[in-house]
This record gives sequence, C-alpha cells and structure tokens, in this order.
Amino acid sequence: MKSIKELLEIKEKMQGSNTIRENSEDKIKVVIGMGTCGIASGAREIMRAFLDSIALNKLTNVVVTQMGCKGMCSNEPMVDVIIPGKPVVSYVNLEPSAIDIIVKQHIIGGDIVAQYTLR
Amino acid sequence: MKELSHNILDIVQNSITARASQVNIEIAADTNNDSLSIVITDDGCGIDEKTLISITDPFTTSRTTRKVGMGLPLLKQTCEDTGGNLTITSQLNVGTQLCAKYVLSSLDRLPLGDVDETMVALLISAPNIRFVLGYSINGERFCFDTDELREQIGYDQSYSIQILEVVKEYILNGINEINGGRNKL
Repeated sequence: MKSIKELLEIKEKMQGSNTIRENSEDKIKVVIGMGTCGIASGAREIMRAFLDSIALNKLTNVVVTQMGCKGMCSNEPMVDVIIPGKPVVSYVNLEPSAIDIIVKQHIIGGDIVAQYTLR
Repeated sequence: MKELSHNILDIVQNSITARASQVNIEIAADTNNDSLSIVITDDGCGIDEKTLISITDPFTTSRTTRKVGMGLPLLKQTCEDTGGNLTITSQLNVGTQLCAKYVLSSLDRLPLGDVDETMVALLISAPNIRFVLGYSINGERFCFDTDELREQIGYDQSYSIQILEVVKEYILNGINEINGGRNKL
C-alpha cells in the first residue's frame, strides 16, 4: 500500500488549487439534504454531481455542505442554493442530470431554474 | 437504500449529531465464516439506557422536525433479511458502538456499494471529525485515516474538491487491492 506517497501527491495537487479557505461568508453555498430520506432517495449521488460540475466548470467560489431532514421527505433529494445577499432557493426532487443545469444557469448565470424549485 | 454504503452514510450522521470527534468505520468480510460485519464506533454523547431499548423502533427519534426515525430500523432490516443481526451498545458521555452483521453470501444481502463515495460525503458533512475507515477481507486490511491526511494538508481547513478526489481514488485503490480478483462485496 503506497499510503505516504499517495498522500504526498495530495499536496502537489493542492498547489494547483488556490482559495481553499477564504472567508466562506462570501461564497455560494450548496446545501444538500442528508437525512435518511435524502440519502435513500439519492442525495449522495446528487452531491457527486455537484462536485463533478463544480470541478468541471472550475468554480472556486462554491462550497458544498449538508443539512439534515427538513420534514419534507417526499421532496427529496433537496438542495438549497444560497448566493450571498439573495434569498435561499430550494430545489426539490432532483436527479443527477439536473445538477449541471443548476450549476450553469443559477450558480454561474444567476438565473433560478424554475422547473426544479420548491413551490 | 440501495447499498449498504448508503446505510453507513446515514448511520454516521447520528454520530455527527452526537458531536463525536472521532468515528471509526470497520468493514470486515470473512469468507470462511461467510460473514460480513460493519462496526461503527464513535465518541459522541452516547444514548441513555431507556432510549437504547427502543432505538430500532421507527417511532423513536431525537429529531424535532418529525416523529419518525427510519435510519436504524432500515439498517436492522438489511441485517435480518440475511439472517444476521444488529447490536448497539452505548454509554452516556463515552460513545456508541454499532455492529451490523450479515450473512455474506445471502441473496438478500445488499451490495456494499461505493464506500469511497460515502467517505467523500462524510468528509463534506463533517470536516472536523476524524474518520478512520478499515476494510478487510479474511484479515487482510486497508485503512484510511483522515488524521494522516490532516498531517499533510493541515488541520484548519475544509477539504477542497481536489483533495476529495484524491481521497476517493486512494480509498478505491485500497479496496480494490484487498478485493484482489474477487467480486466486489
């Protein structure tokens, strides 16, 4: 097992990635519902789709975090997108294919993707 | 839940809620005994005796947003479907240990699934917790410890996506090495 070597590679890769820990206050937050209901309906896969899309689009101003169950289990997987200074937008009943659209249209473009919002 | 790794992600959320500072996840398969066990140990706030008795009852929950808690009942069912069982021991202010046992070859045993993805999700969920993952088959063991990672990257930052990718790759490689030529668990 090449543990130390692998871990050293981490450092190398890190040098290419700046802005890991700036003040997270002024970053865009993606908050994924990780209660039992969320996980059972695919929250982990939604999280993966966000990570992939954020990396693909080379976004450095977005942090992904989690929340528990909000009591609206039938709407899971749910994600809140929080852009500083703007109202929280809750997306519901998500599937991985929707995530790229949300990242491009809402997080990059600033336009809410109405078809997936909670209403 | 489609895979046991989903259940692991779900159950460890309880440890996070219990304000654990360290969580150990030990997955061990033994082909001679035809057994698979998942043991999760935390140093969180623990569960009192009274609650522990009814802990796998869906109508027991500490949450306030609704009156049911499905995490442990679902996990228990995944065990019992195979002829295995779930045991939980806990001590207030010391921590909790959960042991899920499965009959490895049972047709009703869910696949373990993507343990790497579950670990990535856990690191995002609780960057401040030390996670130790052990994965072994017949005694041959792979271990991932976030403290080893922290030694390299420092203790005071959240994990960047680049680091999470390395973690995923590292765990995948480790597990594949232990699996050898076998089918995935």
